[in-house]
Amino acid sequence: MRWGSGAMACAVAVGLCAGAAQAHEFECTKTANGQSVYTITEYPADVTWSMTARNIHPTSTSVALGLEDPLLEGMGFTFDPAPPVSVPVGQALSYTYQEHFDSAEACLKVAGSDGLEDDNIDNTFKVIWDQGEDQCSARVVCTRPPPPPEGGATRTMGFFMTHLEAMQSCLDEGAVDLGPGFDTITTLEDAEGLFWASTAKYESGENRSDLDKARYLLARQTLVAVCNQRLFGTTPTPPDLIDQALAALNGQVCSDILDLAEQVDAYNNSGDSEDFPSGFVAGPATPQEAMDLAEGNDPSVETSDSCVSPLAPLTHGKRR
Amino acid sequence: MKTIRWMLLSAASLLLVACGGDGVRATSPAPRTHTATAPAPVPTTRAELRVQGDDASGGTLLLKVREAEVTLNGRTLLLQRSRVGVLDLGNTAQAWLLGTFEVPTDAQSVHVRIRFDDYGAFEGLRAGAGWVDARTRAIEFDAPVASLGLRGHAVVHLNLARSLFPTGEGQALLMPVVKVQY
Repeated sequence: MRWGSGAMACAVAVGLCAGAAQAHEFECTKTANGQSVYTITEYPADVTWSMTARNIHPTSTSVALGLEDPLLEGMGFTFDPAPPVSVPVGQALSYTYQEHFDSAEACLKVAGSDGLEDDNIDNTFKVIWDQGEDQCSARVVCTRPPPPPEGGATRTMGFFMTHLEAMQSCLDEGAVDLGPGFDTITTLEDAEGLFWASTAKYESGENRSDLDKARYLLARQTLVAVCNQRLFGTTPTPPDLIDQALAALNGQVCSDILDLAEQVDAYNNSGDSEDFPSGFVAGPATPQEAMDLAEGNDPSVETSDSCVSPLAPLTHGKRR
Repeated sequence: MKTIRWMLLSAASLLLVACGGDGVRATSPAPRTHTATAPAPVPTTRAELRVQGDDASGGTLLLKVREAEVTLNGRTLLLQRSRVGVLDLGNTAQAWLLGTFEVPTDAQSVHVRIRFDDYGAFEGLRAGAGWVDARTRAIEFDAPVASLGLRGHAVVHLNLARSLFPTGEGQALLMPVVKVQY
């Protein structure tokens, strides 16, 4: 079953040119079953998305020239009333849409259509006026039954880029060689320099090459994975995932490198909700201190290598 | 729907010009053709793409931009990326420059896509300090060229109070609530 509905207090459909030179402003809200992030814990499940666009201009009627929610519109939802719609001061346009999910598979199918490879349905509602627009998002988490088997603890790159004590504990077990695209990660400055570096540019300000950018995306996840294995002893799936990542960092096959970056990120997230092993001390999160440590310490090396197809021979050259 | 929107925007631009408003500022004047074969340069307008945090309550939100792209009819426009690395969106007085681009003045709109890097960090945003999972949808919008010409920029305002959701101790999820202003 699916249905959508719209309601509006005092809203009026407007003709062309109405309000073209006036000031307008909206603020939107979007929820799924009343929450910005809603987790489906059992199936079947009904999810109702609610969208509002409130005229927050202090004195003037605002005209919504456009209303968009591509994901819901792709599922059959239509805005009624349709734009352009005139909304008096303090009033709001309200819309709802409900979708029924028989199973996790049905939910995951929609999750796969939002452009992100994950188990979440993220969608954005937009209200557009003549000189701006407002965007709001809601997430529905499609829980996969049965619950995933409990593995060991892991932590994400976000954790290691903000918890210096944990990162130092990892480096105390040895330096990490991430291949020809990076200086060996030896110090806390090196590690934080890697995490906080620009994805688009080298420290020199030049744009990263496609290969060096791909290597950068994998290298930082690989460093985190090494730490997860060292500190928590958690084995990835497949067990040689980190070896594969390190091998890829020594190669030039960008498609493999980017695929592995996603796989290693998934491993780093896999045990994020598991407790630390007893005795492990994470220390406090100190983002500002971490960022200060990173300043000027990007360990990336600007190489002259470029992406190759999977069967091409390897060459290595680097310039600093 | 979009057709109506463009008609309204075009009408707004004409009104502004007629009333002495800024209208679209062309950065390169209409050329005079000196030879029969010389191609006429297309007048363009220069615009900036910026991101600004709102409603931060004195806290810090540190995010990097992984991708910033401006396209016209599916063709990527050259975006001169700024050298800004980490954006402190807790600094609500700063509209961080992501880059600048030139767009033909006869175009209707350009499509803008901004994707934050996977992870960021926060401090003092009613939830202590920790890291942010920013692996969510990119922010995308169509920027009318007429609107870009008004002040020469598009500013994406990220409302911190409404965009961050605690997911655990020292963890938050970013679900962007943004306002685009020109």
